[in-house]
Amino acid sequence: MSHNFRHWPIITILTIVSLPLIIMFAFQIIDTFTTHPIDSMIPNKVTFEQFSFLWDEAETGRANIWQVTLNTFIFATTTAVVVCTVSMTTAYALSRLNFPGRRYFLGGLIILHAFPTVTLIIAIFLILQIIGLYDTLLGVIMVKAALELPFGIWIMKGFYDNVPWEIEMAGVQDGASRFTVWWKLVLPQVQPGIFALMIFSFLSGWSEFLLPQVLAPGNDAQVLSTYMTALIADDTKIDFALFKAVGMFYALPVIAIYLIFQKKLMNIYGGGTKG
Amino acid sequence: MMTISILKKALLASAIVLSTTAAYAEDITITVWAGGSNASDSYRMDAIEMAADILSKEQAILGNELNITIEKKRDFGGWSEFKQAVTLAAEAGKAPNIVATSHLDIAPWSEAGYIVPIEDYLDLDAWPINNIYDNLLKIASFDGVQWGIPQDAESRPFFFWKETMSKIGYSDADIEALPAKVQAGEYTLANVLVDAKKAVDMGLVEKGYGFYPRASNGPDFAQFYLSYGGVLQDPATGKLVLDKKAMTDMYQFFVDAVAAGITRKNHIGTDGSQWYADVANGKVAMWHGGTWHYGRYTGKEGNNDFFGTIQFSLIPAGNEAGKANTITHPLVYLITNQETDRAEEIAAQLINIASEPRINTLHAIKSSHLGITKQQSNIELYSSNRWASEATERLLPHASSQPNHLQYGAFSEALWKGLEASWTGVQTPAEAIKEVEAELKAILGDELIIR
Repeated sequence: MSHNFRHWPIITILTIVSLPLIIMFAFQIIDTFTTHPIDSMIPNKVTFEQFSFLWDEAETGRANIWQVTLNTFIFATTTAVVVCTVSMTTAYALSRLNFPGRRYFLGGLIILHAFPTVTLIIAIFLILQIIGLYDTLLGVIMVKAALELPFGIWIMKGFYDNVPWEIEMAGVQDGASRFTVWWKLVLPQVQPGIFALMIFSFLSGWSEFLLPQVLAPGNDAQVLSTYMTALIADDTKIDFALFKAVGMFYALPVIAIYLIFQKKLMNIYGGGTKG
Repeated sequence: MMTISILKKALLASAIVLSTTAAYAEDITITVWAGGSNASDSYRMDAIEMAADILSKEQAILGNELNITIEKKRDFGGWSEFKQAVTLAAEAGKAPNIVATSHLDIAPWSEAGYIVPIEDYLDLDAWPINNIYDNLLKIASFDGVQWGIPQDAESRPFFFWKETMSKIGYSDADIEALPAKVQAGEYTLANVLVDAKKAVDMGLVEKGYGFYPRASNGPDFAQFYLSYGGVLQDPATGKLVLDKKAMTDMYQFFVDAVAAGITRKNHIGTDGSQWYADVANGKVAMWHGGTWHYGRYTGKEGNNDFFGTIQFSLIPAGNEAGKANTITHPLVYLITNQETDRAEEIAAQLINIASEPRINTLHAIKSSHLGITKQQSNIELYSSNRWASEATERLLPHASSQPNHLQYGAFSEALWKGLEASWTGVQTPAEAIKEVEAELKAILGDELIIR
């Protein structure tokens, strides 16, 4: 207790600095469940009406919220699974196997990672158009996964690099194939990395806006981020309470994931076997 | 074009004859995308669905089974996202069958091959197209070809807050006579400056709230250019026109308004909801807007006595060179280029049916827009709506439109940039015009006439 009191000046300053953020979050939550008079910010009634978008029938020309949520879920999950699977194998090869051009491959990964998505968008559009995946969820998933891969591979390579050679040597000497060694001995060692990467790519997919907005404008492939922009753009009837309610709905899975997995997420910055 | 058109009609006719003899089920999906549409604009899409229902029933009587599924979308973020989506989808060969969009898109989209002329599929001299106002129909054409059908009409009036006007000395009869005086050119923008200043000086409205223009670029500002005798397009050559005198006068009007303290120097960029709240409840003496504002003022902004509190007229003339005017910026239905002619043909027929006065009236009244056909005045829903009928009568006959010119977007953008620079005091109107002229010359070259 006394220890805390010694730091009270710092705590006070930090509190003041973070106050705007805290107030913002507080009102985000309060406003979604209450109504208030036009000239006041103090709520006067508790209501769940702002969440009626969840059960009311969608307005003409607007996508159904559950369809949109399902799309977002499929989008984020598939992206995460693809990124993890490909990163797991590619990173292993890059970390352990000596193949021609390995150096350039590694260099290429870094360069790809440095490219902002928006600079590639026209080229991506043309490719999707040619292979006929424009305006489909599958197309957007492929693009998102491809763009996430450099990061994933790089992170996973870091984890593999930290696994001692001796473990593999022992496995090989006992007669296990290279695949068995990877599957049974190495993968368990990098499990924290896989887990963290899975969550990170899921969250990245969950919040992606630009790709679905540009590459899949149809109602069938809408995701929550594009759904929200359309809400705020309504210029004759801007409903901030509705916007905040959809925002809450959109953020809930993210908050839940952070609360449950926060320790595991930190692994991505540590990495590898400990001790 | 003509022969192709005849050929297509012949094919169509034979197809219909054939289809009556051999009955077969046909399933087709028609996608409708509506740009810049809110919940109240739902009939832009729903009308097509109603039309599909009617067309299927008509075909069923003829012994054909035609099942039409309509897919509707209006959520695009904004106009630019909508246009981007249509452009990319058209490039990818996945364009929606029908788009409801600004008539200004006809020029670029027809040049790019995204849309097909509706005149290839519909008889323009037959009902209900022969009942559509000629000036509206003309707005949906480009280069002598009828590309689209008007979806709605609107116009952009000048508004007065009655209470403020009466406090600065106008009697009720004066206020009632204002629209006529504006139309006759007896009440001009010079009077606006004087009256708005009076309202500010007397403390009836705050400083900067005497005249409250639109806070972002839009077709509205071209009206003030017309008020000072400006011309947008040369009727003989179709080239765009920069009338330097008119443009300078128009910029000067806004500069004077800022100098007189009736318009805020930092007005541009005022938040949209703030803007509506200000004008709808008497915080502002005079402003200009659109006919669809009626829905917002009386709806969300809670003005329960529109006609008792607000007077509306054409945009007043600026000087003797110009006259009172208003610009209509109708949306149009366009059909996009599809792989099969059949999809285009059905889309055209759906638009045709959706343009029936009774169906179009649903959109007009629900969204506070104006009708497209003359017969709508005989539909009770329309004629009993005071706003629709008065606005149609007072404004629509005097409405002009912005030209369907490939480069009009650049022209409008340059006009706005010059206005913005003068308004905020970055440049004098003369300096701004010089820059506008140089920029337009560079972009438009031969396509610009400078007066």
